[in-house]
Amino acid sequence: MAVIWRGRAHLFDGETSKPLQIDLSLEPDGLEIHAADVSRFVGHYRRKVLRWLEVREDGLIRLELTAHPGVLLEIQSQEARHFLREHGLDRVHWLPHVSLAAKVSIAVMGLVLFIAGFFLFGLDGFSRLVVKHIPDSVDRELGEKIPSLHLISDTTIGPVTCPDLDSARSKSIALIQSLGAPGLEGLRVEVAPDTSIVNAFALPGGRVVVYTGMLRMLETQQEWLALLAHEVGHVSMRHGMRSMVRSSVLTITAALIFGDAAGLSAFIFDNAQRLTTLKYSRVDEEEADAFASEMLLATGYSTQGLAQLFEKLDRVQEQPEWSAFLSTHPASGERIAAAKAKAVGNKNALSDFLTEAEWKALRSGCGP
Amino acid sequence: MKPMGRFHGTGGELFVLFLKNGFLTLITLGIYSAWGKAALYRFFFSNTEFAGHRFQFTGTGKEIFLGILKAFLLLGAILAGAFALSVVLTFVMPKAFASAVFVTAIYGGIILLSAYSLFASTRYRLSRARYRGLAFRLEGSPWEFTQSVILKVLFCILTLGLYSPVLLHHIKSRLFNQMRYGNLKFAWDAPIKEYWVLCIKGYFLSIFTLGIYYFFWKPQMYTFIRKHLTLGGQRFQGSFTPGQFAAQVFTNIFLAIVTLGFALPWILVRDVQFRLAHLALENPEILEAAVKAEAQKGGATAESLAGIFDMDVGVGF
Repeated sequence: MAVIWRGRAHLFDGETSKPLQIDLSLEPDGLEIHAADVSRFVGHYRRKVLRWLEVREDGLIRLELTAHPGVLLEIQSQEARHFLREHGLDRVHWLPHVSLAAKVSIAVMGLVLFIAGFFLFGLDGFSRLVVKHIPDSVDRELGEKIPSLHLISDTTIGPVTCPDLDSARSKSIALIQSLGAPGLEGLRVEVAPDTSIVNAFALPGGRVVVYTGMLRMLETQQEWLALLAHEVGHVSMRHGMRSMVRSSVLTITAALIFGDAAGLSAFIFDNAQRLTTLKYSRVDEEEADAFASEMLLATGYSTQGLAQLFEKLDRVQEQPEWSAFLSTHPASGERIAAAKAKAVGNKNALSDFLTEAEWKALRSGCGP
Repeated sequence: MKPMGRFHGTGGELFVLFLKNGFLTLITLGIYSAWGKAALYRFFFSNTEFAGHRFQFTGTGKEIFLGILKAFLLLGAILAGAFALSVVLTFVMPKAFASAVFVTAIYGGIILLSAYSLFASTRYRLSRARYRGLAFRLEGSPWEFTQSVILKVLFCILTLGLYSPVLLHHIKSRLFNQMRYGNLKFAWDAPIKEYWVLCIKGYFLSIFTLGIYYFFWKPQMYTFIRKHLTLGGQRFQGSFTPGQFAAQVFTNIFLAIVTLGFALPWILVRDVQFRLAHLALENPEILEAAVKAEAQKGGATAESLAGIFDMDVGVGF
């Protein structure tokens, strides 16, 4: 039999730390221990009973003899390493590894595809399912987590109030609530006195915040009702909560992948703050539009306001003061077209529902 | 002192390993990180030689992966528990108090868990470390360790850190004194007073001298910790001069800056080489006298928890 390498090595019997000297040769079909400090290890070992642990670049070779559990053999020789590689002796161990790697790759690719598919197509449905099981009271709780307006913007003053504005708000709320859409029991409209901000958003639970900057841009009461109905649509369909579930899934997945518990805890602590910057999905926005259309039609008002509002959004695309609202409410051509199509069919619009004084107080935020 | 340690790995090998781990971790959405960690441990253990023989890491990626899963479940359960507690508390006390209790519970939980994982992860690594065919182990239980640490952590906070050398001494003492190699015991007999003085002097003088004293202090600490450590009654030895230490640190900083951090693998290898080149044992014959003791079990959950908290307080060889 051709000897491919012969030399001295160390053997550890697993019982003591004393290294035993051995004289061994590596052969194409296994290895032979010719002499050892302890004679019971002398003998021929076939490839099958050799378990290669490592073959390192610097010539360290480690293997176990399965016939002697706990026994470790250490060879330190570059020459032996070259012979091993050349004759493929250590492949006894590496071969099944190659096929395992292929299996792992397929499994991993499948997993990657599954996760990607879930995020692309399943996340929205999943968030709807989860939200169904979360009681409405949690929405209100979350909405209330934003204690005052100055946390949301630079505005240091709280929401404004005066008799005419209060009555405008009550009338608007009563009109919307009269429809009986779900989740609108706690509906509340807050007017934030900041003319520099052209924005409006709805927090989960029914808190709708509108800046005077936005109110001043409105020309008709129908536009106001359309804006309110759209924001209320987000509340009624619990888009805030849905969006939270979606972003939670994303954050938790990212934390799992990158092992980032700090990010996870930051997410849990900061979540209330995120509510104000939540971006609803395109589907959410379309749902809110549809809700607004239906609501306006059902209450006997024209959906013309919605179309006007969208046209306004389309016109102001390039104007920086609108960027906050547009970033969360992209004015897509399809949305404008959809709103216009519905507006055409409704010619019997009711007249204004707010008095002149109420409308003025609303648009100016109780100002002059 | 003739150094007995030597590191065989190279920065290039480690760089390739980092690249491979990073790439596979990315395309497997993080799953490979457990196997990558096992490969890193194997790299460092197998390349570390002491008194003529190398270490071996016998842990597997699979057990580290299962550990990561368990660690996340555990963390999730703790967070959910704290959240449930805060919800219940809102019924019996004002909201502000309830949130304060919640935050305290979270931070308290993190401290407890950190202590637990420090012990348990050290135990995991030791139990998977083999040298000359015999395994290491750490005796005692992680809960016992956690209980022994908790009051000391509070004192550290109350004394604004003045008590922290006592805590560090306690941690080192517990870990070293409960470490075993086969049937041989490790022991650490550093007097607490000397350790405290050394630490406090180091902190303050380093600040007052704008960091210059640090280069004198670190070598002192290194020697102090090693000269009080024994294995089977034989003392470890090891020292380096402030000049050697400063040269080491400044070279690392220089390498990190001019390569924009790419030299990290080489820096890590240089550091291990530096430590090993300054480590010896009084009478290395003792290393041949160890006899097998019962193998230790213990999963990799805490190993992963420690990883999550970015905590790597090695026992410091």
